[in-house]
Amino acid sequence: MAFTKSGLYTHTFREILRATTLTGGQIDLRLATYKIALLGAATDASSPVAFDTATVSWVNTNEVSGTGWAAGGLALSAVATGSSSAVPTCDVGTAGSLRYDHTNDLSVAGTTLASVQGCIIYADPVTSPADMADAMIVCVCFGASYSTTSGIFAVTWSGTGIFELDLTP
Amino acid sequence: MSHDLTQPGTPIDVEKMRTLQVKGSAPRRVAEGSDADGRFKKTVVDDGNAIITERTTGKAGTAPGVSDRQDVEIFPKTVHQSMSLNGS
Repeated sequence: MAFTKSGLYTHTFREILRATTLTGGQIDLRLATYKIALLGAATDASSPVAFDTATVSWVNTNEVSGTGWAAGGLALSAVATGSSSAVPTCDVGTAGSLRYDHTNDLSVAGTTLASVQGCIIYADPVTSPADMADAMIVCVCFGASYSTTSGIFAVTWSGTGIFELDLTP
Repeated sequence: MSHDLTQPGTPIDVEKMRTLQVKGSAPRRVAEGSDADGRFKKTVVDDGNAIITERTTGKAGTAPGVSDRQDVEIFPKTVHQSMSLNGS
């Protein structure tokens, strides 16, 4: 079954705002050591797209991997054209909003992937506490199922970023 | 500029996009071209959320043959979360 909703993981942001001490470094959305994993036929509100869950550790449930895309996902440092860095940013976006974006769009050559329906960006360096190890940040639903054959898997992010938090609604 | 699919390296011309329907499948918008080796390529706009480019084993201008390469470029919407200010 396809999932239909993108979202941010609330527990991750709760722990950021509570300054919970993490092993492997505090959450910093500008880090290219974070990974992006592909997601297949997940179900809304079920792992790993249950955004209100109290354990936000990335899991490989319904993960898609294949030629050119390793299980566990790829580091953001190598997912742009020519295996260059995506260069993640976290800054003011649309007026009154906080925006997370990648300076360079995702473009990975030589992939053979089946039925990709979305992606999850997670904090790979974080190892503990258990509820925050590999903490998931955001899941983006692509709205349909896509495949590649010995080809380029590319995601061109919106001009308004991967996500925005509107702090002045 | 001519758009002769029998010539290698003819770029995909989205201005010449047309609707293609294979029996049993939904109609798709396609534009065609050929790669440097003269193999048939086509760009398919499926749903407005992505562009899929296929390359086939067939020589351009002939029967397309089977797909041996497929690229995909996805254009997701921004995930947008707003605070709710009760009573404002």
